[in-house]
Amino acid sequence: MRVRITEYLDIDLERELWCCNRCGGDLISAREPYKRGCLLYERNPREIHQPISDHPVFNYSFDPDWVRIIEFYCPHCGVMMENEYLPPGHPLTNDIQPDIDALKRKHANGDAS
Amino acid sequence: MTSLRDQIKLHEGLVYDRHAYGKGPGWDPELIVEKAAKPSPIEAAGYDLLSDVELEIFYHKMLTIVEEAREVWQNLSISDIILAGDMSTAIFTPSGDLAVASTGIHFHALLNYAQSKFILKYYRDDPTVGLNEGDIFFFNNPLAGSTHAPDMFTAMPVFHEGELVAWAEVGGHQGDCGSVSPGGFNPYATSRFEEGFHMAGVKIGEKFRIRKDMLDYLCGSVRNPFVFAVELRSRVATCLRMRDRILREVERRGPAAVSGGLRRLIDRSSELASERLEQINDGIYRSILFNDTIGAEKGLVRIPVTVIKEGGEMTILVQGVSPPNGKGPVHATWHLVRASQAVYLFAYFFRGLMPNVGLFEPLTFLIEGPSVANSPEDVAHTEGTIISAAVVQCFHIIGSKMLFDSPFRENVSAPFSRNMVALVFYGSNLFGYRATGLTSTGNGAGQGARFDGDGEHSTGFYWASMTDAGEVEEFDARYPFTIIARGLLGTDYHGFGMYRGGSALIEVSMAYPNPVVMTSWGTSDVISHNPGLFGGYWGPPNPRLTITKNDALKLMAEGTLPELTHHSLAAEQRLDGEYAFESSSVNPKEFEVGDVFLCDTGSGGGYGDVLERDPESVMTDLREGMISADVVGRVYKVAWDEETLAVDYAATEALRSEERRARIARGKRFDDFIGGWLAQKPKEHLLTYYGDWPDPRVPGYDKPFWGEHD
Amino acid sequence: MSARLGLDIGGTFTDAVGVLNGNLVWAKAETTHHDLKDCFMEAAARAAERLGADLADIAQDAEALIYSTTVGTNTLIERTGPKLGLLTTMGFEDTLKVGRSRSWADGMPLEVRFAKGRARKPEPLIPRDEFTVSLRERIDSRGQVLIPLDEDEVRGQVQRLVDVGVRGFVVVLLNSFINAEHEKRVRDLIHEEYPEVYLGRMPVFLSHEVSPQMGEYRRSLTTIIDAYLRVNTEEHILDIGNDLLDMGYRRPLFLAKCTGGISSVSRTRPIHLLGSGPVAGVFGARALAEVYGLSNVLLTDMGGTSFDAGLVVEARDRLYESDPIFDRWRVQVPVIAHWSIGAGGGSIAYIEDRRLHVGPRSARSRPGPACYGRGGTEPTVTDADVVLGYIDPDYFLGGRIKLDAGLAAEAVRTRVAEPLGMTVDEAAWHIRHQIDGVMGQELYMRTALNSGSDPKEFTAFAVGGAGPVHAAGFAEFADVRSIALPPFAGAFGAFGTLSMDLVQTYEKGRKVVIRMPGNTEFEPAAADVLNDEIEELLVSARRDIAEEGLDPEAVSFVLEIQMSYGMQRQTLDVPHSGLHIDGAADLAMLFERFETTYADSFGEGSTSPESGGEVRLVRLNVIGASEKLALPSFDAVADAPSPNGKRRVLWELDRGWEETPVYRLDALGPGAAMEGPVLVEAEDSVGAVPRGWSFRLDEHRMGWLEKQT
Repeated sequence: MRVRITEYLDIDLERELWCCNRCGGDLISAREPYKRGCLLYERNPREIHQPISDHPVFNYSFDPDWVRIIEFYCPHCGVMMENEYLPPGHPLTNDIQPDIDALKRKHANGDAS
Repeated sequence: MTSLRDQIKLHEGLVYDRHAYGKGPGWDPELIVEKAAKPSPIEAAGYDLLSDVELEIFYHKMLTIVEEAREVWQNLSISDIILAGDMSTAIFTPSGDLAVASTGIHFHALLNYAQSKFILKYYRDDPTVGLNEGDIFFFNNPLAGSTHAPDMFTAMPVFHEGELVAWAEVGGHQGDCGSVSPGGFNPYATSRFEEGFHMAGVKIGEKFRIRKDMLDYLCGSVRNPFVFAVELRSRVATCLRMRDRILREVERRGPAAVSGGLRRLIDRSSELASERLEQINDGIYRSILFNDTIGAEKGLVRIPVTVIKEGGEMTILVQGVSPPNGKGPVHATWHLVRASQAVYLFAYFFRGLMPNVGLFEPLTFLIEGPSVANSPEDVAHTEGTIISAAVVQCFHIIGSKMLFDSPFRENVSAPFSRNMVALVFYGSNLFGYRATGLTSTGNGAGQGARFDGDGEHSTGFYWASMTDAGEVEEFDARYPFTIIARGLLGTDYHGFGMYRGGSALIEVSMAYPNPVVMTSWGTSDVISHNPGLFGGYWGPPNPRLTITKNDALKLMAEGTLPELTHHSLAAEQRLDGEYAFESSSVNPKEFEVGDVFLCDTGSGGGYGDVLERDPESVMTDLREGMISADVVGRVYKVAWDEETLAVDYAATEALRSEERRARIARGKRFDDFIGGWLAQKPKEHLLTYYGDWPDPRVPGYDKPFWGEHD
Repeated sequence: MSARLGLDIGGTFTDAVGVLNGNLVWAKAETTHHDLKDCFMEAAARAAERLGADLADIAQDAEALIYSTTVGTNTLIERTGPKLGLLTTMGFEDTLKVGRSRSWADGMPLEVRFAKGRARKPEPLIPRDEFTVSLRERIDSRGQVLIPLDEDEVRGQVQRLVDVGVRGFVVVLLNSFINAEHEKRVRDLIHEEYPEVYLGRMPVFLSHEVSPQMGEYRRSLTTIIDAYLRVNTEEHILDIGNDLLDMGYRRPLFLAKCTGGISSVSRTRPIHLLGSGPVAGVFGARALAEVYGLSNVLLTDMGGTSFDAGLVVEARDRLYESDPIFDRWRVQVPVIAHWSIGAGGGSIAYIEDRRLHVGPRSARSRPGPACYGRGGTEPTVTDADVVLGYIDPDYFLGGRIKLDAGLAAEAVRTRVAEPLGMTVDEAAWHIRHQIDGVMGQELYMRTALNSGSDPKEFTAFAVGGAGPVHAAGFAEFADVRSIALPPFAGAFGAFGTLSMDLVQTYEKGRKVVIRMPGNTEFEPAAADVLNDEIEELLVSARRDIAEEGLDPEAVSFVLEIQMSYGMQRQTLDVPHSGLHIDGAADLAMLFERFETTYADSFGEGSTSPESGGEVRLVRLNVIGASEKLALPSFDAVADAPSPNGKRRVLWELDRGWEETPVYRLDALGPGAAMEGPVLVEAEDSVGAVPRGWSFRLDEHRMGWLEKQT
């Protein structure tokens, strides 16, 4: 069975796989960070947040020297499942690491949420 | 079987479960880190006197007491900040634990216990101090448990026939505390000795009256003695009121039932909190934020948060934090970080449960120190809330990820805006009073987008449950400046997403009719603390803008003043003048009549993939001026008729499909991406206060994900 | 010789009270929401019948017909008002949408404040998009023009509103209450564009005329609501007026107002009709307080969905709500203080997070309590009362509605008893106990906050369908020891309308410093400023007195000065004897009175004379006293009362079920007295007299519940 974990992420409990909620495609083992199963793209934040003023530093946008956006896409349907704003080169965040065994036990007991 | 908790590897030589400083005169960190204390004998005696249902009525009564007190205090106050809601009234058990708090700033109430516990342990039996009916205590020392010196707390023990049955406490932002900088916020402070007077549980009154010598000392230590005296009296009047009401309840139910009832409320919350936690998936969750300043200097600072949820318990680990720098006031304490989480927990995660210290019982906090999140003794603290708020924002993101697959999904959202710019003005107002203040536009932050809809605009102040943004005509009559535009004036100035973040309330003000001195303080000038969720983009940073030597007054007189919005000023510079885009923390400056200022407290982050936003909603955003035509096409990939604003669904679908294909084409597989990414590094000058790159505590950390310690 | 009739529309019932030749009667009809005229006439006819006549006969000779209506409330809540356009100062078009940031919690129960994450603001009454236009103008807070009005722009913006089909214009310009010249000019321009002689001429509402007070958000809402309610209110009132005229009623139709008085239709503002019912109740209580020589009275009205309360405090002649809210809207109206919480017979008991909650959700009348048998499955307070024996299922509302006790017990069992692991009896007892606790404790807080007096000093009047059965219960929690149960408790609002004077209220917001902080001297120039404002109010007052046909000698003028300490938010209304402020001496007297009231309310140590003093608002009440109702007197009955029967009631958990005597109220005579536990049943309510309380009926057939010991 599939459990919906976030807006875009499901877990297929039997196969222990992260899957895309939108297209159903497989990503990677649920015991791994799902981000390993995505396509990643680094952006200059100003591509999204256009500076509002022309000041080089204080312009109501993010300074690409300080922060970049990393976007995580489903490799099958291209939906953006998550993003992160990180200083250039900073390790990524393993944001959701569910206890798969506990999750399987919960659903085996018929404890649906 | 190893538990998830066992996966935590704490670094040697650092502390986590306690402060990075030891006992001192007036403070005992061991007392401060305690959760709920052991019940006192009277609480134990009365513990079983109320049934569960009777407890509901008792809780309602206690709530009416603190809410009445809140109203009374806000009415008696002349401090703008209190009027705006930056305050709390609360009832504590005789052992000093928070049992009931009003709808003010919950986390204040979660700090005020430190004073009571210290007094109980060290002063009660000391013949030179003692604890008696009618005593009034005061504290503001961050080392002793306060937020920072400008937040001041008053406590009054409630005795019944000689026995201590409860504490009545009120607290809130007071402002000037005699520090180097007026108003209390000094971005240039480097030690606590520049931050004004620090009092830790001092008896300032006896027999229900403030001692004259104490009043003179306090008023003599601050720049606004008149306001301070009125405020202090208001607090005492409020405590007295609460005491009266509590004693009436003691008359009805008996002292043990009241004290025991207060304890039961705490235990009830703790039981229900555990039960709620049991219904959430076990796992390890992470989120990370960075700050862009240490005070007067810019620099990257790291605040990572890891939450381990197992059964009915949760551990919040703040590890890998930048070290203390001793060069600025952006330092939090262990207790400030813990207490701040109430902002998220009470209104979202544990919504519906009685807000008191019991909600913290199933939670363990491990906050790395010495660091900017758990700082040593002599650093400056006034802006430590920047760090503790960053932890809250991370917790909010984490909590949302935990709650999505749970019965509590309706609490899932991007965090409430935490970005700040507060402009504080001094000068003569219209009626000839010397007035100091800031408007309540700060109570207009935008809400993060929710799992089922856009974030609400201008919803309140970050730290409080419900606050009021006031009315312009009142400010104009009160303050030494005039507001010339105020509303949801931002374009492209919130987090985009399937659901967008709520917009901040934006204020354009002018020094008028007199010149004015203005100082400001704030956060998020080049980095924001308003993350989005599940692919939503962030609410953007908000530095400040002042426009001097401008033609506004002339245009007004001629009737040709242009529309004043965020865009027309910051982007189009429609007024002629000198535009100063600056950091939101600047020391006081003098401004001339006619000078114009622009500020707001930030818009919320978005939720979900922008390509999933309903094109009709995108058109509404466009029509309302929330977004530009550029964003409609470039970000949301919507095609529309510019005349009629009708969506061209077919073309939109084509654009969006194309973008999805483009994403797949440009996105790299993890292994292809990560090497190139990790090879990058911020410029050296940004890392002066960071610690080791990328993990401040682990030199040479090279893993693709942070927080993996062997 | 001629009758007086008062009518009060309630959510479920419309009540009428009639007085003729010393005879006082009351009657009810079911409220007909689709057209309130029907229930108005029905209730009036039934009251006339009880007076022994036709409505037409009564109407022809009637001295006064007084009407408390909900036509405005319904319009507001159901949003059936016209499309309006708003013209406001450029830069402030979002004022309503912003809602002071707090509008998501305004008018909502307290719990909502704790749930910031789910905040949702109400849709504004005038949409921001298309229906709100800006004017490039600005007047500063001294009244000086900062940006002059652009008349071409005004015409253009008016046209934009006309193009989207507005049916009226609301004009709110910043600081217009200090200098109204721009607002007036806008109206002139609109009238120039749309002269009277042509069809489709739309009304223009200027904020400085509707509410000349500081605070653009509240002033906007006050003006908008007044404008919004106008059409429906007028239509309805004039419709009734015509029918009455046809019947031969020649006097004006008087309307009851939330400002604590009545006025004829032509002198009444629509917004003042909101909340008139509860306020009428307060004045009913006040009238009874005078009859009985009581200083401090609490009016409590427990109906199906809400528990309303109001205060009468001797020391303060008129007690106003400090921050009135109508529905979700914060306004500037001197509303007589009353409060409402979601607690009533229909309040639903439910378990959430293992905690018992009772209300504010209500089962209303459809489906209603489970025992109504209309399909409701959730247990309500009424269901609990049935289970516990307080209510006789066969005699509810005089037998008009037969209740099913089995359904009540079932609902209590499945939704509360089982989840909490208790018996049905215990669960029902707790439901009742909890709602009593919440109501009583709210009452206590409101009384304490608003009167500065101890609730012990108050006598409560308990009205409303569920009032008498819960009064002793909630009184325990509010420290009240004496409760009056008026014989016409079921029609108390209507009774109240007959107890209200003719009142017109004139207000002007004006911030005047009467003493600078740190000074001891008062500013004599302040008196001159205030006297100018008072004079303007008097001009309006005299005009209206003439219009009403009142004798100026027969009315009283009462001046109230709203004051505060310098820069403080808390204001208090201080009465001033006379209509003129005589320089510094009078200012000093006002300030002293202010400080005394302040100390009474907030405690001795709270005053801060060094803060200086300000006036915020001047209010003139013109009062034409109406004849107060004399309560009919009845002879005492010598025989001791005997009960009609008995039934089992669960008064206290630890005592279990007790056979309790049940008396029929109409079989009791003045002088009857019993000790609890007893039940006293009337057609529309049951008086529950617990152990430790007594009941007696006095010569006016007023029931008194009094706590012994």
